[in-house]
Amino acid sequence: MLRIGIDTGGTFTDLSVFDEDDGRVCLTHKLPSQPRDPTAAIAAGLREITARLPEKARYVLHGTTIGLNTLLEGREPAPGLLVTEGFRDLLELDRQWRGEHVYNLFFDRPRQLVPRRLIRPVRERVDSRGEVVLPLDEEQARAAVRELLEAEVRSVAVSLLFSFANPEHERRLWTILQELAPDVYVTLSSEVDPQFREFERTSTAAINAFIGPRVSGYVSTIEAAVQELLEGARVLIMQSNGGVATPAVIARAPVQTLMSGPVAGVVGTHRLCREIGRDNAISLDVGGTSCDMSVIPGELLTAPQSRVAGYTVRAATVAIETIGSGGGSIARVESGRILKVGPQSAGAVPGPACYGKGDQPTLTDALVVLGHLNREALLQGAMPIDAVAARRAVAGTIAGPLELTPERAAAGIVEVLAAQVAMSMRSVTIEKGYDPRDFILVAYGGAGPTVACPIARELEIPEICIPPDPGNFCAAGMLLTDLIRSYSLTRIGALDETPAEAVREAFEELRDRGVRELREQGVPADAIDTEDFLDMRYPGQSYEVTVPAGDARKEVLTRLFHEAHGRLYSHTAEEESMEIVNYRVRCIGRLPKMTLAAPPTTGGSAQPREQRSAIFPGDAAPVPTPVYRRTDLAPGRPIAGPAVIEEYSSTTVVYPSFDLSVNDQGNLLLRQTA
Amino acid sequence: MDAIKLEVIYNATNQIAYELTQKLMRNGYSSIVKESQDLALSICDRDGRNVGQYSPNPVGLGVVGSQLKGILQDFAGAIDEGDTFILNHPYRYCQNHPSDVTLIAPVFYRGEIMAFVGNTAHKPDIGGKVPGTNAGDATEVFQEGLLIPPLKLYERGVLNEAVRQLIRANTRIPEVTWGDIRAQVTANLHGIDRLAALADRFGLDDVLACWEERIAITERELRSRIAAMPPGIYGPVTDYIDDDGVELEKPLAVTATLHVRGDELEFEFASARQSRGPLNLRPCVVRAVAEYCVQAAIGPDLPKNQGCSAPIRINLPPPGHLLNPEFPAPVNMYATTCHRLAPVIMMVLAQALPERVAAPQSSSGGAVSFNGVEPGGGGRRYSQYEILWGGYGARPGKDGVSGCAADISNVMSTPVEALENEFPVRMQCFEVNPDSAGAGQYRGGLGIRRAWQVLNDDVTLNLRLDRFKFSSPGLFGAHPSAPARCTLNPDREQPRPLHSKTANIRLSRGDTLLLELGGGGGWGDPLARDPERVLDDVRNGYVSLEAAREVYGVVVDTQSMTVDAAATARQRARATGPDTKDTIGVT
Repeated sequence: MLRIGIDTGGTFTDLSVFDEDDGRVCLTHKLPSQPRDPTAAIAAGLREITARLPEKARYVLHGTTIGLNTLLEGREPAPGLLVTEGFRDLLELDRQWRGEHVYNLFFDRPRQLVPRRLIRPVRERVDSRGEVVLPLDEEQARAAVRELLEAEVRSVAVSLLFSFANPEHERRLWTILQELAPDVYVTLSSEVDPQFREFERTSTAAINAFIGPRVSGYVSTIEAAVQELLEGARVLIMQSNGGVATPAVIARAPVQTLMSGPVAGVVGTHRLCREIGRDNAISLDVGGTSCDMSVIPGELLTAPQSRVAGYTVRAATVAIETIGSGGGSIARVESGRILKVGPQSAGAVPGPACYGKGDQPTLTDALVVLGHLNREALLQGAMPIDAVAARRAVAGTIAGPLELTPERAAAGIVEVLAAQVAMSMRSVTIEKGYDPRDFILVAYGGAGPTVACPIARELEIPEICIPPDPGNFCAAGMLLTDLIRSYSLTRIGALDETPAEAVREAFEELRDRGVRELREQGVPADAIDTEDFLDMRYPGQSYEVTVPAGDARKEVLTRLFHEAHGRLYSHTAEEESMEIVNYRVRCIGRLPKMTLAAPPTTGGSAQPREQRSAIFPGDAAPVPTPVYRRTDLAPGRPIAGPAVIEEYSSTTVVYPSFDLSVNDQGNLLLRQTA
Repeated sequence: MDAIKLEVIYNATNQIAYELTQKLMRNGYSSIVKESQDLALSICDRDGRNVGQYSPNPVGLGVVGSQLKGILQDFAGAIDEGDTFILNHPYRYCQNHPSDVTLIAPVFYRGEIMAFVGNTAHKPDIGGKVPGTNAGDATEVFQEGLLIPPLKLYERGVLNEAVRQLIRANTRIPEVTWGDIRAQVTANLHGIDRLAALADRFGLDDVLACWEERIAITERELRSRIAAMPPGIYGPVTDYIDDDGVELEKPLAVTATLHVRGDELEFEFASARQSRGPLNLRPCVVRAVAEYCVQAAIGPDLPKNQGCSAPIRINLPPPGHLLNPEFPAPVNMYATTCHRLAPVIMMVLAQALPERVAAPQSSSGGAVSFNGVEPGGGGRRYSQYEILWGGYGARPGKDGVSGCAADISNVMSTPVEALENEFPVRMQCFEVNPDSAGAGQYRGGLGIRRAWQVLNDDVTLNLRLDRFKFSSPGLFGAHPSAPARCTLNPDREQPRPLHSKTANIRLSRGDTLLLELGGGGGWGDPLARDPERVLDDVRNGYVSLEAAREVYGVVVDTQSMTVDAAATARQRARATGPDTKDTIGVT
C-alpha cells in the first residue's frame, strides 16, 4: 500500500509517494504552489500522479499552514462572539498583558480578531462548581444572536464563564444558533478548550472561529479531491500535538493545526531516536530565517499553551522553541565594536550575498568564505554561488570595521550564531530539568547540519545525528505520525479529598470520548492506546505540573508529582498536600508503521570527490578538508574530521574534533573526539 | 578582547540572567511571583556595578545595585563563599518597600569574588498592620512589615535558622513567604554555578574584561544619543498625587525639570514634603524611574547595565521630602508615586523629543485586597490581592492600549475563574470603561471596570489607588483622561463612594465593590482626529455619541451610523476657538 505526503510550501507543492512495505519513496512530484488557492495545486498534483501510482494509496497525509496563514494575514471577515454579561472585553484586556518589551513605548497587543461591536453579552451565570447561579435568558440571547446575524457574521464563538465546569448554557446557545442560522460556523469554548482561565479559553475559541470557515472549506475541498481521484484513501491532517486527525475533526477544531508546521520534524526525530536506540534527543531545525529546537526526553513534550503572533492559543502543542537564527541571518557591527548576527534575515529576497542579489553578509556567506559550503554551487548545481560576493560582503561590513581578516570575521559569525543557538538550547533543556550532555543532537533543515558541530561542542553534547535528506526531514516526519487526540477537563480539588472513584470517572469520561471519536475516524479498537495525565500543583501555586497518571493510586501520584516538581523547579515540599487541577487524556490511533530506511547508496566508494581548504572557528589556519558526496558513504570505518559531506538538500560540516560514521539506516553519526 | 568574545560572553551573561529569572518565577510559591512576576534579578560585577539584568517588570531594577554598594562597604572583608545576604529595610540601604525582599549572594571563583547575583521579589505578606502587609494608612515604616536589615541568611553555606524562624513568625502565611525566599536563594545558587562555568569556559580575565567593556560601550552609546538631543532646559512639569491616604485634603506635588547639557541629562526633582502616609520614595527608586524613562525614550535597544546610569544626573529635593524621605517615613505605596513621577519625567522628555514619548498612562491602577477567614471552618486566613491597571497613554501616531500596565510596572491580572475557585467572591464585571480615555488626535487606552461581590462575612478591604481627583494629563493639545472612582454597593439606594487609599473597610456577604479606572492621556488635538476613527470608536462603544460630538467635534448620523461630514465641519469650526482645556507638556 502507498502513503502519499503532501507538503505545501511558499514556492512549491511537493508530493511524495512512499511504499509502506519498504519505507522508500517511489515517486516524487513537484509543482508550483498557488498561494491564493492552495487546494488547486494539490488537486492538480494528485491528478498528475494518479496514473503513475503502482498500487492503491491508503493514506494521504497533509501538513498545512492554512490555519496559521489565515490568522497571520488577518483578512477574514470578523466572527461574532457571545460572552457572559459583564465580561465583554476579556479578549481586548488580554489579562492586562503588556508584553515582554517593557522599554518599547510603542508596543501593541495583537489586532483584535473580534471587534467590540461584534461581542455580545448574554445574561447567564455559572459558578466555579458548575452550578447555575443565573439561568440563561434565552430571549435576550436570541436578540443578541439576531444582532450578530444582522451584522452578517459567518462564524460565531461562544465563551461563557465556567463553561468548562458546566457547558449547558454554551450548548443551549449552540442550539439557538442552529435554529436561527444553520449555516453559521459555531465554536464552543467548552468544546475546543474545556479548561479554566477564561481569557485563554476565549482567545482559543475566537481564533478557532476566525480561521474556522476558511480551514473547514479547505479540508473539505482536499477530501473531495482525494475521494474523486484515489478512491478509498483516507486524508489525515497534521496537528500541533504531533499527531494527525481526519478532516472532520480538523474542520471543527482548526485551532489544533496552528503550529503543525515545524512539529513534523520533531515527530520524525522522536521516531528516528527509537530506531537508532537513543532515548534522549534535542532536535535542531535550522532553515533560512529561524531555528526550531525541541527537547525530547524519550517522549514528545507538549506545551498546553503558547503565543502565536501575540495571540494566546491553548491547544496541546509539541514544545518547540524558536529563535531568529538561520542561514539568512544578517551579520552586522554595532557601536563600532560588537558583532551581532540576526534576528534580521535576508530572507528569500535579496537572500545571502552569495546568491547574487544582496550585499549584506549572512551566515550562508560566512560558511562560503570558510569553505564549508561549496564555492561554486548548491542544490547539486542548481543554485550557483558567488564566492567573491560572499567574501566582499563579509570583508566590507564585518572584517573592515572590526579590523579582522575576512576568514576570522566569517568564523566569528558562525561562533556568535552557534553560541546564541547553544544558549537558547541550554535554557530550554535546563528549564525542563534535563542536562544537554545526556542527549543526542539531531540536526536537519537546510542549515542545521552546517552548524551542528560548534553547537554540540558548546553544550558538550557528545553525539550528533544527521538524517538522510535533512532539508526534507520535516516532510518525512509527517509520514510517521499516528492519529492523536488530546482531551482535557478542569476539576480542581485536593488530592486527599478526591475519591479514587471521581478520578477514575473523570478519566473514563475523557477516554470514552476519545475512543469513540477515533472509532468514528475508522481506527480499529485494537489500534487505540490511551495515556492519562494529571495537572497538579501545591495549593496556592498558579502553575501546574503534568504527571503521567496511568497508575492513579494516590501514593504513586504523590511520588510522581514530587519527582516532576523537583526536576522542573529544583525543590519539593514533601510535607505539603497537593491539588488536582486538570485531567488530560491523549488518545492515539496507531497507524501501520514505516521505517526510516536508508537511501540507496552507490556502493560506498568513500573516496572524497575533492579536497578543499577550509577554516574552522577556533583554529587560525586553513586545513585541507576532504569533500564527500553523501551517496558515496556507507557504513564502515569512521572518517576523522574535518570533512564536508554534500547532498542535494544540505551540507554537513564535520569539525576537526569530531569523527563521522554512517549507521545501517543511512544516518550520519558525528562523535566528539576531543 | 576580540569582537566575537565580546558578544559571546555578554550574550551568555544575559542569558544567565534570563534563565535565573525564569527559574525564580517557576520556583516561587506566591501568585505575585509566579503570575504577577513582581520581581527583578541582577548580575553585578565585583565592584557592585550592574552587568546584566532581567525583569519582566522594571520597577525592581534599581534596588540591588544600591544595596550592594552598602554591603560592599559595611561587610568589607567579611564576605565569604557560601554567604547569602537578606534585606528589605528601606532605610538600610534602600528598598522600594518592605514587602520587597532582596537576596544577594557573592560569586566566588577560585577563592576570589568575581561577581554578585541578587534578586528582589514582592512578598504577599511579611507582617505589618494589615493582612497583605501594605496598609494605605501606615504612618511609619514599622507598620509596613518585618524590617530586615542587611544580614546573612546563609553564612558559608549554613542556614541561619534563627533568621528563618524569625521571618516565619512574622508573616501571616509562613509557607508561602518562606517558599518564595527559598526560591530566591535557589535562583542565586544556580547563578553562582552558571557564572563560575562561564569563567571556566572563557577564562575569568576575559569575562571581567568583557563586562567592563560592554558597560563602557553602553555608556558611550547612550551619551552619543543624548548629545543628539536639542540642548536646553525643559519643564518644570508638575503633577499631583490625590493625597497620602492619611491627610485626605492635601495633594502632593511632584515636579521635574530636565537639563540637556552636552552628553548628559540632569533631572532636577522637587516635591511636596514627605507624606505622613506611605507614598514616600527612596532615592534609589527615584533614580530607577528616571533611568527607565530615559532608556524607554532613547535607548530601548540598549542592554540594561551600569552604562545606562552614568550619563544621568539626579538632583533630589532636600531630606524630608516625598522624593527624599527621612526615617521612619512610610513607603509601602511607593508604586503610586512612581506612577506619578514617571509620567512627569516623560512629559519633560516629550518637550525635548515630541515624537519619542507616550502621553501619561492612567496611573490610577494599584492594589485591591480582600482579606478574611476561609468559610467552612478550619480558620485559615486568605488574602485576595489583585493589581489592576487603567489605560496606556496615547503615542504619537497611535492610540494607547486599554487596561494595561505602563512605565515601571508589568503585572498580569488574575483570571476570574481562578479567583472564584480560590476565594469566596463572585466577579460581576471586568470590562473596558467607556469614555475614560484622554481624547486626542490619538486617544489614550481605556481604563477598566471591575466589580466584586463578596460571598463571605467579616472581610476587610484595603485600597491603594490614585487619580480619583487629578486625572492623567494629555500632551500637545490633548485632553486629560477621566478620573478613577471606587464605589461600595453601587446598585443600592445609598452607594458609598470610597477614598482612593483606605485600609480595613469592613465588608459583609452580598456587598459589591465597583472599581472604575481612568484611561491614559491623549496626544494631540482631538479635533484633528480622523472622523472615521471617532466613528469606529462610537460603533465599538469606546466613545459615546455625546463625547464624539462635544470633545472630538464629530457628528454621527445615528440612522446610517456614518459621519455627518457637513455637521462635523460646522461643529469643529465652532470648537476651534481659544482652547479652554489646560494641558501639560505643550511646548
